[in-house]
Amino acid sequence: MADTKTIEPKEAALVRFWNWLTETQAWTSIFRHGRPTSDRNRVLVMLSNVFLHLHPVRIRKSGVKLRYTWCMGGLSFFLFLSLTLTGLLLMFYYRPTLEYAYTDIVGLREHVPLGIMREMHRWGAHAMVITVWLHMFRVFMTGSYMPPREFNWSVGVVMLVLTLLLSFTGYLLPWDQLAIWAITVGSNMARATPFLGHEGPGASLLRLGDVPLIHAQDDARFALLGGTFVGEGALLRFYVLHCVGLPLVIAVLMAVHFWRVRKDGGFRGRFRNLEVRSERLEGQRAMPAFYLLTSHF
Amino acid sequence: MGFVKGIFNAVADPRLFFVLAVGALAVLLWKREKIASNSFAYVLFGLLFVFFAFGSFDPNFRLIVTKPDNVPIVGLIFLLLFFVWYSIREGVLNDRRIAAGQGPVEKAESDRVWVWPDLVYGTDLVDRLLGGPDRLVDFLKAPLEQPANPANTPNPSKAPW
Repeated sequence: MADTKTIEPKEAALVRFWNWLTETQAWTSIFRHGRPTSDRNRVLVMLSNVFLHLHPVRIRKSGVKLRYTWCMGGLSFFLFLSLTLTGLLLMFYYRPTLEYAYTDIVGLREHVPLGIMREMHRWGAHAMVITVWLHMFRVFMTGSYMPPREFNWSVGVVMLVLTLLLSFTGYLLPWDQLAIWAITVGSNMARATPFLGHEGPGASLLRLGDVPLIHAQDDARFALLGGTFVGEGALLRFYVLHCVGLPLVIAVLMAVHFWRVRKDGGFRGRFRNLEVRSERLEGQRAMPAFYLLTSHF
Repeated sequence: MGFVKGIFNAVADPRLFFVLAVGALAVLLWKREKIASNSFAYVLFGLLFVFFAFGSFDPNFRLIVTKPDNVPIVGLIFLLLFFVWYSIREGVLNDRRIAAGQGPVEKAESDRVWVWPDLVYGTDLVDRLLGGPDRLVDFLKAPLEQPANPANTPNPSKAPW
C-alpha cells in the first residue's frame, strides 16, 4: 500500500498572530477565559467582566426581542455615555463667564476642527429625554412597575426628573437670547415652590414673629440662580450642576437602577410578579396596565 | 387654510381640549380591536403625513416645525402615536391568544438564550450604534441665537403658558 502524504493546511498569518496574541501573558492576565464560543466560556465572559456582570448568563428569549423591550432603556444609557463624552470635550473649550460663554460657543462652531460636538450634545440631549420617556411608557404599559419593582420604578422617576434638570441646566450655558429668557421663565416657576418659594403656598406661614423667613432673597429661586435674576451667579451654578452635580447623582442612581433590574427578576420577573400581586392577573395579561385600563370597558 | 387654523384654535381651548382628550382615551380603549389593526395604523399615519404636507404650505407652520429645537417635538408626535398604537396592538393580540387558550406571546417564548452573544450583539450593539456618535442628525446645526441681553425681551415664539 502506497504511503499517503498528509499535507497540513497552512495557517494564515493573521490566525497565527491571533493565536500568539491570545497566549501572551498580557492577554491571559486580562481575559481569563477563551473566546466565548463554548458554553463554559459564555458563562465565564459574563461572570469575569465588570461591565457585563450585571447581566445574567442566560435570558428568556422574549427579553432580547425589540417588540418587548423597545430598547429604550439601553438607548437612554448609551445616550448618557455619549453625552458624558461630548460634554467632557466641550468643557475643554467652554468658560462659564459672561465674558466668554457666548464667544466660546461661537468659537466651537467656527474654529474647532470637526466642530459637531455641540450638535452631538444637543441632539443627544433631546434624544435622551425622548428615550427615557418612551422607556417609562413601555414599563407602564407592560406593568413592569408592579411589585417587587416599585422601588426601581421610583428610582426611574427620580432619574426622569434629573434628566429634565440636566436639559434645563444645559439650556442656559450657550448664553444666548434663547438661553437666558428660557431660564428666566423656567426659574420664575421656582417662586411658587410650596413653602420654599416666596410666592408659593405656605411660604407666609414660615415666619419668626413679623419677620418672614422666605422672601425673594433667600427662596428656592434665589438658591437656583445665585441671585434674583439670571446673571453670572446663575451661569456658574447651572454649569456646576450640569457638569458635576446632576451627572454624579444620576450615575449613582443608574448603578442602583441596573442592579435592581437584575435583583428584581430581570426581564423574566413579570409573570411571577403578577402571580404575587393577584390571582386574577396570574399570567393572564402581557400588558397589565393595559388590562387594568380596559377591564371596565 | 384659515378654516383649518380656526378648528385648531377652537380645539386648543384647554376646557375643550381636556374633554376631547378624555373622550379620545375612552374611544381608544372601547374600540381597541379596530385600532389594533394594521390598516388603522396606515390610515392614521397617512393622515398625519397629509396634515404635515398640507401644513407646510403655510410659512408660519413651516417656520415652527423646522425650528431646530422643535424638530424633536415634531418627531415625538410620530413616535408617541406609533408607540401608543403598538402597545394597544400588543395587548389586543395577547387578549386574542388568551381567549384562544394560549398564553401571552412573551410566555410562549419561554426558552432561554445566552446573553453572550444574543443580547450583547443583538441589543447592546444596536444601542451603541444608535446612541453613539453615528447619529446622522448631528450634522444639523444646534441652535444659537443672538448673545444674551437682559434688556431685550424677545417676542415669545411659543404660547406664553
